[in-house]
Amino acid sequence: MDDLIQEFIAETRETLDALASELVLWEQNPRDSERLDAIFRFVHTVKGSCGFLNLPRFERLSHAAEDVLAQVREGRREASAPLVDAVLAVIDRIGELIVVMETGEALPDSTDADLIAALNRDIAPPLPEPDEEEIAVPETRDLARRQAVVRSIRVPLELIDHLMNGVSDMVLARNEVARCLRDEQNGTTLENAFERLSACIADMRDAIGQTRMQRIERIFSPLPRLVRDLSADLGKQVDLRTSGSNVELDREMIEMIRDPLTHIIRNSIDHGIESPAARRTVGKPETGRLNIAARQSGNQILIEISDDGRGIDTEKLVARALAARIRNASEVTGLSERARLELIFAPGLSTADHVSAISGRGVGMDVVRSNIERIGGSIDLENNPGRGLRVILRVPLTLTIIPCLTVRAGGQEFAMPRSAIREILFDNNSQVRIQQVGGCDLAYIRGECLPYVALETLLGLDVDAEPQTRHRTIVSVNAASDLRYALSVEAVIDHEELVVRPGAPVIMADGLYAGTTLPDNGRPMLLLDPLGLAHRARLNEMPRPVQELEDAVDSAAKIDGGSALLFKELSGELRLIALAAVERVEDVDSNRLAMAAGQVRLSIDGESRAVIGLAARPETPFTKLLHLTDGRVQALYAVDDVIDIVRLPSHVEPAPQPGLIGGVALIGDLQIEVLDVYWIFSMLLGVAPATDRPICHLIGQDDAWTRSILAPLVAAAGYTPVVSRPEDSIDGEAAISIIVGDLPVAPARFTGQVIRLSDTLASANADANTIYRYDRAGLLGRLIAGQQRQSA
Amino acid sequence: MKDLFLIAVIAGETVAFPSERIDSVVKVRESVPVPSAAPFISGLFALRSRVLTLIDCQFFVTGEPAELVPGQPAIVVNIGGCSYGLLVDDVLDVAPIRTAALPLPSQLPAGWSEIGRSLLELDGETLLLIDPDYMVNPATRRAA
Repeated sequence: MDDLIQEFIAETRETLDALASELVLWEQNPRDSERLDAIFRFVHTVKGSCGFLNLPRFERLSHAAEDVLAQVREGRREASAPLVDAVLAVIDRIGELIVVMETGEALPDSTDADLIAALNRDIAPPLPEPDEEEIAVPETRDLARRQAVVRSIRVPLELIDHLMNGVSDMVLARNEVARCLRDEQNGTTLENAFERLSACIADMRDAIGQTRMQRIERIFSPLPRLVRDLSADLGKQVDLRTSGSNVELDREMIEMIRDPLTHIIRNSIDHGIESPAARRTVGKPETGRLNIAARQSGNQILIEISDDGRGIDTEKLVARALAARIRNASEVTGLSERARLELIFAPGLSTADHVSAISGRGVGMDVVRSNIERIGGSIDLENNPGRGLRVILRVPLTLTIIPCLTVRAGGQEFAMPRSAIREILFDNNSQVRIQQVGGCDLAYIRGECLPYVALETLLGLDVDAEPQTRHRTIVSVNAASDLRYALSVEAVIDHEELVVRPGAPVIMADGLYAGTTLPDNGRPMLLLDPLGLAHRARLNEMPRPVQELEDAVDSAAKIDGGSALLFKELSGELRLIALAAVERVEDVDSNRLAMAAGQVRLSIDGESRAVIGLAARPETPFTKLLHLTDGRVQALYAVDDVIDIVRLPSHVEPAPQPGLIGGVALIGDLQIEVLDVYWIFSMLLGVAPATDRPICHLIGQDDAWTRSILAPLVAAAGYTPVVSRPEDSIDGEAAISIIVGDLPVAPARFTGQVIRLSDTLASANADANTIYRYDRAGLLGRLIAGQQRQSA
Repeated sequence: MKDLFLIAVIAGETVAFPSERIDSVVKVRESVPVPSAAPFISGLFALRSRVLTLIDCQFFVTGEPAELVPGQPAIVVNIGGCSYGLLVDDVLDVAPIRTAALPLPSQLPAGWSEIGRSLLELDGETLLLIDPDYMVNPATRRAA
């Protein structure tokens, strides 16, 4: 019976979340009979299981709700806001009772007559407003209780079947290994059997990982209700749209982002979206829009919350910062617009004119940000004053397997999440200068000034003064979006993916550690929390001279072409590659390289990958390889040596033909070839087949310019160029037609979009579809926009 | 089960642990220190694929951290969803005790009175009953 009740609780809770949002959607469109049927079924199911489990109080409540819904279904009553309110109140009551049941306590003695009466009244009186205090107390108690109950998870049966099959496979593979061992077959048979066992284990690990995944729907489904209640309280009209609710995320992660997300939505509705009257005066539709979208990008999940409200008034923000003495006047005057916007994350700051029940209590965006950063995520703002605010949350896919860097300090090994690490340098690098200023160390790395601390000092360890550790390694850490520091460690050991588990509360309490992990050597290792280390070093309490510099660097990065890695090819020449594409540099044992299928291939992580840049197996015992990545696919590129990191100039002269070399950059006086990473990956994965490409008609004189200058550009933008004369009949559906020259052709004949290329600058921009023939950016922009329309 | 107690030695003194809280008793070969953690944390050790926190029971009594002797026994307990190893000098026996528990004498030195819960009698000998919850999180000292 207990099992049944547990199941009922889990199921009902899920149902209730979904039910609340369905009800809200139905209220907006009462004629939607399909939705009403769905709601009716939900309530009916709850009622059925309550009756079965002999829970009379639940049954009474759900029965009353069902009655009312049935009346609406039969057209005897109208769906009105009070009616939906009453049904929602019933659902809330059921939810409260469920929480009580879950903790194993007796159900409180009170009747639900008031709620049931409200359901049956035609025009319900406003619900009695409970005292603020009364709401707050049960909520916190419920929360504490909820944490105490057993955590359960619902997993699709298919996945369990898959796991079951995996376990059987694993047992078979184990038996095979056992047989080989018994028969003392040590050769390839044993190896093969062991390979199979390893593959099975890897597969099982993935499957188990999937059981932890959950759709983000779980936090999206209560949102319509939240938005409805908030906008009703504040007298605003908000249209909520969510997308990407099928994105999957680690269960633990979902719990962690629930509160920050709710907070951002509250802010949006309370401060962002204006009242209907105010919106009318500024010429916006009375109903504000709130879009929430989730999508996966690599091993990150992006959640975007955008509204069309008034955005953030940075002037007001600065004034508040001054009033609250968070910044002084001289600090504020020098701040860039971006830095001003960042003030919203300062503790104790709010732009609300008055504190309302919903938000603006001073626990604000700083808490949101620290919560997001604690789980290795980040938060970005895009502010359009008067037109809206877009908040972008980035969180890692899972908390359990984290790419880490292992470092040594004081003779002990530690792990650091790689997401926080920007760069690793030796302290004898000419780009690094360490200086003491007033008793604290500062590191200047390529002109950027960072606080410099030794990991041993932070952890209270003795600095190991052995001779081979004279050169220390500096890890530049990005603990939070505006908190960077240089951490000195004895050595960086490796880069590996570690399964991280939370440590005991006594260890985590310090804030220095984010968890524990067990690497292959069987010695437990601690995962450092970069933010906790910064707190220990009291870094965030220092004024940040870094801020301005950072902005300067940021704007510089926009002007130039970003960082590039300068390296020496095996053939001896110097070349450049965009740093963003290089994941890491590794010296591999040449024994792991082999000639196969006409390529040099490396066996890595249980697969074989082609190495670019090698024609034969190298003679040297070690080969330096660049691991390139486009976020999903890995590529390997053999080099002789890595020389330096340089900044690319804003203009790279493009190569005449697409190929390995994308262009030539001028670094100092040297002309250095820049690799085309795009080409490398397109070669690896194969280019899109020409037949799938949309057709672009080039109409004009069949001259050399059209054929050899315009056509390649159109092809490069992903179209199949078809050159034709104006009098030719045009067959085939064209996505875009380009009319070359100022020909008098009636554009009505063409399907799709028509662009006219004018010979002279003067006649260009006569209308929106006329572009000067050498306006490369303008033309490409149109072509790419056309592509996107095609694929959409 | 409720009347079973694990008899172990902390700082040379024989004590009793409530057996319903105990998962197993293991031998700890090596542990990894946790820098700048509370002094009663001896370190971390691996038990198959799990990482456990090793608690130095002796520290509560003597105030001196114990040196881990490879192979020293630790009592594995699970408290609040986390597993800990309580490092003791020795594990002697598991014995049923049915006599009523006696309250702690008031003159007990601070260390013992903090980790002790009550007194038990076994074969004419009086033993201190140890409270594992206090050891893994001294901050949540019972309000009493």
